Amino acid sequence: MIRVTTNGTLRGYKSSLMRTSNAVNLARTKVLTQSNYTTYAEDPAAATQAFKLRRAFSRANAQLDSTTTLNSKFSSACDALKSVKSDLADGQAKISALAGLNDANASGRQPLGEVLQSSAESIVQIMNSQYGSSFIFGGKDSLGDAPFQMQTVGGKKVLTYRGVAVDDPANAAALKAMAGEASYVDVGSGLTEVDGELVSSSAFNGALSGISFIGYGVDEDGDPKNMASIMQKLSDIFGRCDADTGAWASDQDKEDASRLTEKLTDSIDEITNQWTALDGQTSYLTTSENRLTELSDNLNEQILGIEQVDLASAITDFSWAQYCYNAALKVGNSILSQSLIDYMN
Amino acid sequence: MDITTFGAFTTARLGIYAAQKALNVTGNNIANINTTGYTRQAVDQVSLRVGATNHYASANGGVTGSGVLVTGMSQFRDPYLDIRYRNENSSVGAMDTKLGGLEELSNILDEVGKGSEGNEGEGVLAAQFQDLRDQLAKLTGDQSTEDEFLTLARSSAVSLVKLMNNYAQRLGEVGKNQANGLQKDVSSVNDILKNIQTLNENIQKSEIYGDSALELRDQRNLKLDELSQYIKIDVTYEPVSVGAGKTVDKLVIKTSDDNPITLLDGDYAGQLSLKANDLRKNPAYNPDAVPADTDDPYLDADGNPTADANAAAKLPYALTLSELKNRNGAALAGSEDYQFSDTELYGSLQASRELLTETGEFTTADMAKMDADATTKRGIPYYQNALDSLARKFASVLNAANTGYMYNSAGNYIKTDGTEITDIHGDPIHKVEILTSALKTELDGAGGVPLGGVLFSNSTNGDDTSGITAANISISKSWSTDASVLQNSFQALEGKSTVGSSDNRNILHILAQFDGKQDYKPGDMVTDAADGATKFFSGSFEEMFTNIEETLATDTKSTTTLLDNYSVSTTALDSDRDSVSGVDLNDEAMNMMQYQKSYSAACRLMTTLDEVLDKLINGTGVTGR
Repeated sequence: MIRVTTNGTLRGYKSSLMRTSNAVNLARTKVLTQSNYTTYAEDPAAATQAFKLRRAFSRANAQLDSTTTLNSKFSSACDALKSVKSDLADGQAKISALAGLNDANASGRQPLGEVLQSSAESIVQIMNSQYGSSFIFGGKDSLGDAPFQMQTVGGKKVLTYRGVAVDDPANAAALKAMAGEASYVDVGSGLTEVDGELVSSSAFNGALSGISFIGYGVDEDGDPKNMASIMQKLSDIFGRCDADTGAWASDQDKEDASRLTEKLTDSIDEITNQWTALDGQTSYLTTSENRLTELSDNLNEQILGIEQVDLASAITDFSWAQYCYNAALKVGNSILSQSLIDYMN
Repeated sequence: MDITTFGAFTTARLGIYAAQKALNVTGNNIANINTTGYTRQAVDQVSLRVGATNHYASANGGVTGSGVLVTGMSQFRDPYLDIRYRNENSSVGAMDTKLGGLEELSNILDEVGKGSEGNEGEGVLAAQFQDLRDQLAKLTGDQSTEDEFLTLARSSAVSLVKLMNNYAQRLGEVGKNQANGLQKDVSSVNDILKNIQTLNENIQKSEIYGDSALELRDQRNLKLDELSQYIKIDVTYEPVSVGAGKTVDKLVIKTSDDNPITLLDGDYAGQLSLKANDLRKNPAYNPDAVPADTDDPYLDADGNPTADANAAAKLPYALTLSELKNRNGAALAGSEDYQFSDTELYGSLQASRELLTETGEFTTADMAKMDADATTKRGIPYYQNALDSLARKFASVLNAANTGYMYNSAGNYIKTDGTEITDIHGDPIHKVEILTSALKTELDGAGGVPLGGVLFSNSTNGDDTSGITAANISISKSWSTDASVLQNSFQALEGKSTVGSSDNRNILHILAQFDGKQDYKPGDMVTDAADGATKFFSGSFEEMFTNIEETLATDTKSTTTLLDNYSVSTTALDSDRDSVSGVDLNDEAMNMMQYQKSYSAACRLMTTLDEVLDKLINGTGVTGR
């Protein structure tokens, strides 16, 4: 510059002062908002990353919610199955059946039959437990009527699952389909569809079909596989025994009772297996829950890492900016201090 | 001829006069130190020598000068610095206007640090997308047909579309503000041109009378600086004869372009007019020609003349310069109306035009022909289109996901009695992800069971899904009256023709759509887009929104940096100009002392002469008295 003029100096000073003042303002905003950036344009890369992490965070929390709900449902299911297995099947029905079959004091067969019947009814009631407003063991149709119902058809008690007779061989296909029902939930296993079809390993099957636990259909002997139906049938046989002597109504009844008691034991084993499997799934859900909680925490930490300032460095920056600003102000005081005119006489 | 005896007094008088004048100018400089645009002045003075050498010249001694003459006042100004300053200034104008527009857009679209109380930073629209997804995810927990949860999901969707409507409406307002701003800028440019025209006239008059009209020139330079923000200009001064051998400078302002257009020529000035929707005119066409011009009046996108207004290229927010006229309304010979092409101008007017017109990836084939860079320039319409594109994609994907026919566990479409629907070959028809209208007709005809329905439409009054934009996207009438239109599944229970009450297959499918990637193509929004079929983004709905924000942020960031650079250069150049033209108190103090001394010296000369002559007149020839 050839000449540094009065106004040139002033203009330069004003422009520099404005910059210094802006720098203080920016540093102050950082301290006050504790954000590394307050607009997207300030740091587009960081803002994009933060929004991406926030989406992942929101997903993880939604998945955590779903997993927690599902875990509670599965825990309730486990409790229900435990009651069915331990209290009713093992503790009540099996003992009654064995007692009725082997007890020397056979006159008690009829009351034992009644115990069996009430056990069967209790199983039905337990298998109709609700979680929230849905029936835990309702499969894919858990928001309608209670899935298990003991209906009397032609004087005989018939157990139905969602309106389908559980022991009728004619319903085999429908029952099989209901037993295999799946209703998937996103629990953070990477929900994926290929051509509109869900990749089943990418979600968790949350449908619990009651008949898959307590059995359905008939076996090669024509006996029901369903635990409650077996109990009901045993109860019917015991009910036919002589009230005083407890004698079997027929040899066939005796034979049937013996065979059915064996099958009841088998079905208890089966429900034990199912219960163990369900317990395994519940554990998986608990693990998922922990994993998602951890993921959510990690994501939150990452988001804060990007968005939040390191307060120590922000305050240092602010102090430095403030110091520069003060220095600039001090210079300003002397910018117009003297000229030759002030020394003229 | 030598100076006469008393001529020396004239020398002293001229010296006093020159010093007095110089002190006046110094005073004027000091007084105007804070006047914007004031240029430091100086006295032009020459040494006077009366007469010339001839044969009457005295043979005694040499020839002496006769003092000093003040010939006028002049300014210290460097025209090259003016040119550089004005060039930079047009860049400052362009970037400043662009940044202003982008910041207005950012106020709407930038969601950094926004969000509900306690959740600042999660965004607004971004957070609403997440909320809707959360509500849908809740339905998968054996609640897929529960009214209270279905209503919650619908309420969340209502908030989402309302936010989109609000964003679109506010983007529209930015557009309106910008259009008003451009109109005001055009008026300002016209005022400046008129002002300069008047100043030119006055300067010229003054010049004829021998006054250099320095103050008027300062005013004119200020106006030129101001004009340079709006339009990049070239300023030239051409000498024009005003008769009697006298010439004055004529100022000419042209646009700085390969094809310079004269905005002002001395007393003649043009006026700009703005037309929101104009057709591209053929510059060769003269509407006033008699007989009628054989040239076609319009140009198509390729630049070929055409007489068909429909074939003419569209030129939004076109600026047209009127023929140049003087203040009496007389037109300059050869001057005619001129319509600026799409990319001809530079400066804040053009930046404002670009904000109003540029559509980035959504550029039509025609516009792309007129501006090869159009697909990378993004103004307000780009952001409107991008948001519309998101709204349309969101609606179409979710509508498709929620519309279908009942099928069985084998995946084949069934009738109400549960039997499978067969095609003409007797084979069952397997379900498809997206229904074609042909298949729909076939299924309707064969007794298929339609389920679900349209979730989003173009108004709340019906289920019409055509032309959905961010401004009109709404919850469909059917969904708004029945929350269960959100279909939980299309699969019938085994052996039945009803869907399981807690079957959430379709809800999960919709969730998968939220997480899946969608392709966004310009052709979805603009039928005649230059790159209609080329996807410009692929990602989830939320990623698309972040992409819009990111695009805006990156543009804002680079514009801020450019503006910063140009501003620094402009400030530096202004200081450079000031170093030449500015008043400096030290300088003026020196001048004051200098001229005061020369004034005193001239006065002393006069006293000396007086004493000398006193000796000659009163003290000579009196010897012995």
